[in-house]
Amino acid sequence: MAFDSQESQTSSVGDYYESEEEEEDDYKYFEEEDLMEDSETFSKENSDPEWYEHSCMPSQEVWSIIKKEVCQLSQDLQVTDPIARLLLYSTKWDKSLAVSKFNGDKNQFFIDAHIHPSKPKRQPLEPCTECPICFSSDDANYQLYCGHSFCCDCWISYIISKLERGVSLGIECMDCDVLMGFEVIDTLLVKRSSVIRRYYQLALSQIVESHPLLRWCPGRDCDMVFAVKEPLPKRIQCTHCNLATCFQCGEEYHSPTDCESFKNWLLKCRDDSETAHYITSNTKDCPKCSSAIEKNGGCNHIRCTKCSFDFCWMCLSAWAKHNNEYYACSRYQADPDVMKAKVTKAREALKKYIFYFERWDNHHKSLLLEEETRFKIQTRIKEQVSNGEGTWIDWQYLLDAADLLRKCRYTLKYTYPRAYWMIGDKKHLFEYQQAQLELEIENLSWKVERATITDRADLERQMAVTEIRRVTLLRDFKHY
Amino acid sequence: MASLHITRVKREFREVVSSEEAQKSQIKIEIIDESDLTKLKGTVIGPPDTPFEGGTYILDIRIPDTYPFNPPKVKFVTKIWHPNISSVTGAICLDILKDQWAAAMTLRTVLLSIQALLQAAEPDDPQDAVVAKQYKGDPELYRKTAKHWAQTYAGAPKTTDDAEISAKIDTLLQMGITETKAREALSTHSWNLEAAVDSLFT
Repeated sequence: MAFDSQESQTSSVGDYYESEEEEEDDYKYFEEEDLMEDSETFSKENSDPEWYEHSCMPSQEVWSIIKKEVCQLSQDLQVTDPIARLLLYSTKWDKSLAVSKFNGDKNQFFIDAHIHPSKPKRQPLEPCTECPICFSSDDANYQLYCGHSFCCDCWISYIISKLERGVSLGIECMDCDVLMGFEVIDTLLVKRSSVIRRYYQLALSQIVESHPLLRWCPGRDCDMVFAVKEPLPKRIQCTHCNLATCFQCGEEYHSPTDCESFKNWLLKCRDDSETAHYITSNTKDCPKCSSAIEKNGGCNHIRCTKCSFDFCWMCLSAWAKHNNEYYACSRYQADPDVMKAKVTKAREALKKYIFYFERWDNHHKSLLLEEETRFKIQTRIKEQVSNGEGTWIDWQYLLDAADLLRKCRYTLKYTYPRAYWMIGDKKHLFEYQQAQLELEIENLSWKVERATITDRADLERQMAVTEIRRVTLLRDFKHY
Repeated sequence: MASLHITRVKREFREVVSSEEAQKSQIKIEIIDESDLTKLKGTVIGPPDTPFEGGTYILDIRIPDTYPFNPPKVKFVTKIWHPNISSVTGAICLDILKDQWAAAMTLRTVLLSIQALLQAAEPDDPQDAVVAKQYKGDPELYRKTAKHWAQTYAGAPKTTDDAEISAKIDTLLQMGITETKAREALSTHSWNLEAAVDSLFT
């Protein structure tokens, strides 16, 4: 049954193409390309611009990735695993860089990687029984590869003090800048399992943060890690908490807007939205210096506190022109002067922002409502099924439609920040496609809400059209 | 057994007292209160061929519980005009007192490093931006100011008698400004009396 419903959906997509000749060409073109390409990756990326190869794993699995990378490097360079790990840590897990540096000035590389001390030892250390830190000779001393030797208790206290400050992989010798490898930590902390656990916890989080191909899931209290093959500003979705984010910046997924514009947009929204609304509804701009002025009572004679310009609140022209009309302005402005143009410019910028913000915000709210719609559909399906009209599976397409609607609206929402920062000729095309998508989404939304009473084929056609609009927009306006 | 940081302080105290530098009375360390060894008083002498030559600089040294795994907190009590030391609070910008601290370092090495800092300032890593700017832009004026401060606050021998400086400070004193404030304002504004007055009265 499920298979049936799937099939009928694909056939309706086909129907749609037959009715639209232009689109059909497109479709064939992509199909041909798909066939030509052997690589699965390439074809997937072509048919779905949002497709991104990534895996999501519990954080502990990162250790096996790291272990593999370290093993590979240690074999290639014929060094020990601890050394290979320190080398990779210094090149931020870039293996080819590590190999090329190793083949270049190896000595310098070892100094850069804090395997060899950057400065020669201050004095040759004689084997002494007394620990130079606590001056006791009761404990056995432990010597690091740099030759500096301290008692185990001091080493442990030192490691703990570093962990308290959030340092783990970067813990150096107590007397020089040589890094302490895992094997040193393991040896020293062999009896302190809670400290060792803390160390590896911090080390793991530091590794994920510094590794270009790994990222923590930004979900609250989520312990999952994403691994990708190539760092791109594309969609990753957590298999545990379901949150969809952007791999590059870790913010919510924001295609087709690029990371930087999106960040600016969020910043602008945080800073400006409430203020901007207040300003538009309650203030006017000074005709001379364009500062926003709020009239808090009194007469229409306003003096700007910034530039001391006297003007009339009603007509926004100089007060001096008003002669005796103190309390009401009846001056009719036949030709607005230059000052007015300046005022308009400042207002225009604000208006532009509000325009985009309102649309962004509107789709955001609609998205929340779509959740409700989905819930309502579920109840409706239940009713239908209990009334004996079809089975649950027969009505499954309604949920698919609701999901698609949500997906499309999500993309549409994130087109607004992009449009806001966009300039030039491309903007026309972008806004045209955006409008098209908007239109189809509204149609879809209307049909989804009345889904049980309208024609199923019609709804499925609408779904296909909307999805094509969405994919086309994403493909035509790649943000990376 | 006393805790590690106290054991260390006692030992390092002895180290400083018996050190070669202390013999030459270049550095000194004193215990303020026998019952509290976490508060110490350090002294360094301004090194020769610097504006601080012959000045006696008192330092406030606090030993944290986590010593020697974390650095001691050290600041100047004596006022000083130096790019890496705040002319107002006496806070010191020195790498070994921050991230470059190593547990094997001692109070002796700290005092010697501070003395070395007086000898060779690092204006590119400033604590006091005003002083650092002057150090780079007008080294002659910096030396003059630093020397004046050393003579006034650190008891450096008066080798020059700058009547012009005294006159400017006197002018401000007559306006009801305290001497310390007057000196700070004038030093900050390159001894420009008008600019100093402006900064004090606005």
